[in-house]
Amino acid sequence: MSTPGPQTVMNAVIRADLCTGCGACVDLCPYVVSFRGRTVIFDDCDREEGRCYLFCPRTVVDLDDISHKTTGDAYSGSPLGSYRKIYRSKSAEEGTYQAGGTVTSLIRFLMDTGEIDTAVLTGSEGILPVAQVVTHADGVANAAGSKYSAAPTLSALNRAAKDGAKKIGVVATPCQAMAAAKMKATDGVDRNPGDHISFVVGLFCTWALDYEKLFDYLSERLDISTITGFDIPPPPAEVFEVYTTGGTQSFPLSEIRPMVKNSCDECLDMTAEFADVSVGMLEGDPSYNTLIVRTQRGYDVVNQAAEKGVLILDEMPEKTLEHLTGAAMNKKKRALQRIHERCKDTDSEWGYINAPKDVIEKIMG
Amino acid sequence: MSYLSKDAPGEVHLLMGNEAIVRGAIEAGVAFASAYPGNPSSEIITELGKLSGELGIYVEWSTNEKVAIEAAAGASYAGLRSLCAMKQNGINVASDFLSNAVLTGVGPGGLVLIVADDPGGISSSNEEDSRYFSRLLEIPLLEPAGFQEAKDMTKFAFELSEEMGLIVMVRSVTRVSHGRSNVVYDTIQQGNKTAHFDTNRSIMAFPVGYTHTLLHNKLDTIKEKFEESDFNTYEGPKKPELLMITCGAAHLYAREAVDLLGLEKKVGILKVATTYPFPDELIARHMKNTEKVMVTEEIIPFLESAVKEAYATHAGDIGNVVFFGKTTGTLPRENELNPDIVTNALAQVMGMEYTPTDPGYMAEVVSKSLTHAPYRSLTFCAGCPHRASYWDIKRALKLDGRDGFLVGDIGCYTIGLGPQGYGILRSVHAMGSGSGLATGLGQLNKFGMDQPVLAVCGDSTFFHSVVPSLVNAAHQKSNFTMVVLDNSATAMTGAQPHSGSKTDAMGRIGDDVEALSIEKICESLGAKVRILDPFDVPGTTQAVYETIQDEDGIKVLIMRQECCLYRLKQDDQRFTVRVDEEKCLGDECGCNRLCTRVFKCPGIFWDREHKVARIDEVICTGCGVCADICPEGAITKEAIHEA
Repeated sequence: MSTPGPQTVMNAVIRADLCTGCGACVDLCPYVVSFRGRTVIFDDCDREEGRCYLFCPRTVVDLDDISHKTTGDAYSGSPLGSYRKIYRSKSAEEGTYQAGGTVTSLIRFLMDTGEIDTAVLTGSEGILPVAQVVTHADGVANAAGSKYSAAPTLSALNRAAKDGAKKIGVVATPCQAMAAAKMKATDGVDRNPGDHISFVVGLFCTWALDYEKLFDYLSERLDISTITGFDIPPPPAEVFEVYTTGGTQSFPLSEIRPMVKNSCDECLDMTAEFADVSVGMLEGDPSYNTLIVRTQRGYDVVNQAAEKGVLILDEMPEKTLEHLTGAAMNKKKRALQRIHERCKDTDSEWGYINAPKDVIEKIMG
Repeated sequence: MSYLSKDAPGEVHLLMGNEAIVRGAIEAGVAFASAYPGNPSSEIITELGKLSGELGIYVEWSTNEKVAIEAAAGASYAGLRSLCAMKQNGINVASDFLSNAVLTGVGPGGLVLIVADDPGGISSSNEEDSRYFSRLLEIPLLEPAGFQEAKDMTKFAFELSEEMGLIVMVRSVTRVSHGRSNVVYDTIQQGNKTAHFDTNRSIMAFPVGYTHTLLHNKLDTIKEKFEESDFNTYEGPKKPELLMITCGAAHLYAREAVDLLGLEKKVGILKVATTYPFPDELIARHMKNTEKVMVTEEIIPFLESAVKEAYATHAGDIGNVVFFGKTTGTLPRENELNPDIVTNALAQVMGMEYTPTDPGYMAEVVSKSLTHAPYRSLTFCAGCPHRASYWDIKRALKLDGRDGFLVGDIGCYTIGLGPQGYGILRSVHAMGSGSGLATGLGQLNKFGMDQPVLAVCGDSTFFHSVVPSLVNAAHQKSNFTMVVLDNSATAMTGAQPHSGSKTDAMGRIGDDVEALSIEKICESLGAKVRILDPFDVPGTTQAVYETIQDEDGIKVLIMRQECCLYRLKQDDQRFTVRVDEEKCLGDECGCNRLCTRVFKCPGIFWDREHKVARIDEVICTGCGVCADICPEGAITKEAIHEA
């Protein structure tokens, strides 16, 4: 990654197919848009500096710096990142949720209490995940549920900030949370959407699919317009389930995995380590979420929500975390190996990862 | 009455070369004239068209050059003096007919073909030398070396054509067609204005051996006339140290060179105006008086070859001669000549000192002019709909992401090759060639090509030569998208009407003219047609995107918006456009001068001092597209009246 500017984002990230599609560079300027999950460059930008470079989760990221500036801790390379507390959680409200409904309830709570004036979420148009700006608690539930392909969610953050939102809550996958953290950690930049982020709810993520590949695959096999949702049941099922108005269809996961975005293979973060709180499924109990509380603000908000009867928090049995921890550690190691393989003969042997040497050694084992 | 049609023998008028040709045709009593526009020939039909009512003649902008020459030949067969004009590229299109017409001959009215060449390709895609067609097809050729001659030779060409029953070609070049000088008028012959086709005659080239012999007999007669022609002139000493043999505009440069170097007593100039069939005996006579010959002409050494051929025929008589010209490297083989180049070459041949213009001089002229002119490459006019069309297509291709591409041809839209057209065009050849290439490219699916194929043409080009490509594509089920940039005129050559226009060369309107519908023609071929407004950036971008997803057969997108210059002439500006300096982000992150750096309309400029974009109100034509693309809403457009 030579010149630290827009050209790097355009050439070394987007054109090199290492883009996560997070949307951090979208709607900042007229040159980059997200289209069908793909980040499209209309025209090159010849600026030497640009917010796209500063915010992109695939340009150099000083993990220690953003860890300090978000959680207050150093980046240790631990599997689940820095945290204060891990709960089993679920929404106290009635509703149909993919799991415990923790994310929907938290965002609603933040809106109701005025902690945020705007929520940046991921909705859907057909099976295409789209960035959404929501300014009323009523709109939050529409965005509930896992999306299986990458979404330019942060483009909505950029839009909302430009439109004057001052306290924005963001629900973000790990790459999106990392970009949001880079925004927050960047000082002295005009029109930095990060200045208006009030709270980040991170989502666990192991990978995201390339929308266009998924679309083409499914188009050949069913009527896309009948799709109502997706799911990947717990092992050992090894299937990708597609809910349609005509019933559920299953496809072998081995046919789906090749559609995983390239960028996911270089992701070290399964649990959105730079969010205020991170939420995912709870192994063995689909009525609950795993809730990792990382920041003091996260801790305060979660506990207020529990006090107000919005969220139910339970102790997390230590043993339940074993799988999650193992998987998160594996992802870190695999990704770092992959990056090293690609970058070892370049100036930056660890690619976009800038972390203390001992941390890298620790992850690589 | 126009100054061109005044029956005033002896009067002197300052005429452009093309006007002189028009005057020559009028003096010869022309009754029928046709052409397809193309610089530097375009003014001939424009001017004749304006006079059509007054002179009681018929004038048309034909659909293409082949049709133009055929239409004129038809009139000639019915007894009318007919003229057909074209630029050098046009004769390629017309040549198929011409190769037969030399054998069939023309009618009692005669037929004069004016071809205006463009040395240096100033307004052309090449600098083809049309004179080789005269030799290739055996068409008598006249080359005026000035403005009086342009008139006189046109008139003579009619007389010769009528007398010999052959097409006669008059070859002009840019500096003759577009220069101006005094021309002395002659009387106007009324000419036959009654058309009748003689059904006793069959017009055909068969049997070819026989008609070819007849042609050669006629050419022999013409050669005899050319040997004696007053158009071929000599000035200089009886025994020149050097004989300059010239033709066309180069003759003027040769005279200037001799004058500049004071060589009147040493150098003679033989101007050859009748360059095919070649008057070799005349040339040989002059060559006998010298030992050095320098041939001075533009583009290909056509005259030079003929001179050397004449020398070979008469070498025994002439004795030793040393030749100078393009083949010896004395004169450049490309681009236009000028007095400086010819003077320098002459000085070298004569062993004289001459300091030619420093090559740095032009660079200096350019740099000095830059203080008064904006620095930019060849661009579309401010508010040109083509810029918007290319902007929309470029974005649609990027959204599609399959490396789709656009092939094109000749027109204002050729600018799509360069940065001002976003480098969007991948190929340019002849009129209609983009659509031709696309019919082939659209068949390559079975070879693994999944890139969307798009071809572009203008509205005039559509009629000129795209229709046959579309017929081919429709029949073969080729898969591509034809984009017709319909700006309602043959814009590049001066907004001449075409087959889709509501008027014609004679200014007729209403029921007298049928404006053909591009969409109906395309629909009749089974193409899926959409009509788009290129100024609607999101709508047109989306439509292009959707269209290239359709991989079944030909799709036609007509991007319709009048040429901005045409609008301007009608005082039909749509919007007043302004920049809000407070909102303009300029080169900050978030914009980085999208309007001036990327969109590049010359109607917007970058104020370096204040770091904001500004509208150049003098040249802005008010299309309003920049207001729609400005990411900050800093450019505003205010409607002047309903579009």
